[in-house]
Amino acid sequence: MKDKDRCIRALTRVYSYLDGEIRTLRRVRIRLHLRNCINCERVYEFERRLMGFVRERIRVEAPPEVVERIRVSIRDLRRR
Amino acid sequence: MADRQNFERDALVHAHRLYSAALRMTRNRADAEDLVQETFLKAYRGYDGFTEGTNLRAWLYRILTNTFINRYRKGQRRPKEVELDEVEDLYLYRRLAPAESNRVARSAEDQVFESLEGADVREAIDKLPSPYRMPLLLVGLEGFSYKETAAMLDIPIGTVMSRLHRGRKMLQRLLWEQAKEYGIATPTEDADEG
Repeated sequence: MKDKDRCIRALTRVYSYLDGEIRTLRRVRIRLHLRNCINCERVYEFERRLMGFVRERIRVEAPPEVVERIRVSIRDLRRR
Repeated sequence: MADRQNFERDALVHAHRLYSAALRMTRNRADAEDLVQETFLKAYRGYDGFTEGTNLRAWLYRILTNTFINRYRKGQRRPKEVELDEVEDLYLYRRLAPAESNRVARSAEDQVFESLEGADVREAIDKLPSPYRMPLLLVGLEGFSYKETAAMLDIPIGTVMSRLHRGRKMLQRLLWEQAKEYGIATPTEDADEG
């Protein structure tokens, strides 16, 4: 397989790879390609960073009174 | 079979993450609070049906997602949603890479990440129409598999994948537009204008 084709293959699978949906041999194949191809490696690194960034920014704490209200209503149900 | 005695101890630790997801699903605090509360009450009532030792978080998300779809999605006031026109793959990466190379300079990348606040990211997600937002939340943010997500949303795996793909590209475009508003200068921009 030509290098260019390896890049195309790696780039079409970036999300499935990062989402953990590519396993075994295919995963190993991609990992080997990334070790040898700095351009693809940068794309993967960028997309991984972006996913982590979005994940982190989106997390909010539930207001304590909301958690408390849930706790109380569960206890209410239990008593019934 | 799970024991209801343990429900509070085992399930309530997931409240914060469920609330974060509920907030992005409903896009407003009052509905998110109701949605999470209803989810936990349903879960408590149905806890006998949960098999202990299996994934409790996934089970709770299934209830959350179902409750949202059946109840809140219809008739919800929608904030302005984006049109899902075609966006190229790796949209953000391509914006940051100078035309002459296809590699992004770390400084340009850092600038974008540093300029975007949590509120910007949340707003961008909220602009995605819900068929695209839901897979993104479940896979990209909560780490569920395509298969689990397909089951939760009751759509085929292929649909999860294509919506996820489009949703991600749209999100990248929205984030890029926001970063540009903050005055991010990039190699591509310079080349265009120069």
